[in-house]
Amino acid sequence: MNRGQMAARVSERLAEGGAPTFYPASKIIDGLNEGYGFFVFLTLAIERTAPWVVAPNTTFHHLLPVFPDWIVPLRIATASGARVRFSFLADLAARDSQWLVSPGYQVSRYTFQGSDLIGVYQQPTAPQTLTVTYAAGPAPLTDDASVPEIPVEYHPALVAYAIYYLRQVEGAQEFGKALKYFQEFLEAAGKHGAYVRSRNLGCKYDTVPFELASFDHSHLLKLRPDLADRKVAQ
Amino acid sequence: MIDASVCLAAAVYRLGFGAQSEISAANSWVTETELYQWGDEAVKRLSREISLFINYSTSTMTQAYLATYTLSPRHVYTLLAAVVTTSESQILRPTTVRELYALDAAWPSTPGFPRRASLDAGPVGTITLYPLPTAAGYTVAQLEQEIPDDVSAAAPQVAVPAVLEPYVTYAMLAGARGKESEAAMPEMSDHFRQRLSLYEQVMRHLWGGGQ
Repeated sequence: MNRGQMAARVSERLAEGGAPTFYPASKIIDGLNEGYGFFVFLTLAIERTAPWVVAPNTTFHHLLPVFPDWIVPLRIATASGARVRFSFLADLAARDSQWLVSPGYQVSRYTFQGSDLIGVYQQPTAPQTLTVTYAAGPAPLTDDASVPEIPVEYHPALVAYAIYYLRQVEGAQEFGKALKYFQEFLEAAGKHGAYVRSRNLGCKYDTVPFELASFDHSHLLKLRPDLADRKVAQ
Repeated sequence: MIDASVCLAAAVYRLGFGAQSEISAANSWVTETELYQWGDEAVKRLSREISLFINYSTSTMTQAYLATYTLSPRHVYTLLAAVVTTSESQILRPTTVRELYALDAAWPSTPGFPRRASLDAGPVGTITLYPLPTAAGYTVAQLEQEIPDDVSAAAPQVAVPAVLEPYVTYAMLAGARGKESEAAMPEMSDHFRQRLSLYEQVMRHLWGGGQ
């Protein structure tokens, strides 16, 4: 489904038809985009591979300025394809007490700290190009022909999320009716996240998606019982 | 990189306003300043709960025979400390003041090349090196969690992955709907806080926990 088709479905399900007024078309699109971003964040469903030139004689590098859609690293390799292995700080210190300033012919290990700080070992003495595979955030769906990069079978989950998004303005029991759509979205994200997790493990990637089943949904999927209809919210 | 002004724009409709300009109207039940404040508080919460804002700081230099150095005002916690010279580095072993006394009764005045660092030997907000560096000009490098700049209309940008933009939006929504006003929706504020909690768990999984 493209964005136009998804927006039409959202509008129909909110009894708005072809010319939405109470739930404006621009807000339907915002809802679809927020759901799309959240789905990708939960599942790490989009991956990109791009070259990165490591500046010489420097250990730590921020990657957000290099890759604006960055989330986490999945795999780093040299230009020839050799894997640059992930290491914890303690592993690097155990390997080489001088690792912070150790120069070398080529980067063989990396450590990842914070949201985008990569430390390399050894520091290349000249610019070195590495190939970075990373989980990326999605580009917004900018026009009606835009198609989300997630598998087609999960596109209806974005429709469900947009309905949940739009009804947040109403609150209480009206919003309670929309929580089943959010549940539907989370179930879809959990299923695809499990697939991506097993795939990433199989690929020997360095990061796997969050295990959604480990999050206690019980409070998220029902409103405070004193303020909303529990039967509807459940 | 996220932009809090985009987060605020995303919250406008869900707060019941037709346009952002309505928030600026007199007698509006919530103001843009308040929304930025909730966004700022959410980012500050992340700086202590999630390892998001890690930076390699090299701004402190040793002075001869001076053991204690003031940490950056942005410092939250240290992951790794080292003394780095032009040719070598010494990773500093984290050591409590009790351990320093057990190691060397005269530790405050023992000179040498630093091998240990203590965050509780000096006043709060300082790092103490042991032994005392005998030379000036070594870099005290730290891999540290830092507090980002205050989030406001004048400085709306925060250096975190763009997928976290809704986190700040939900913080604004939770704050606004929880505020005592005619538009208060405590059940929605509660739900938005649950959304923040889900985001934080995913962040903790991807980037690690904070303090």
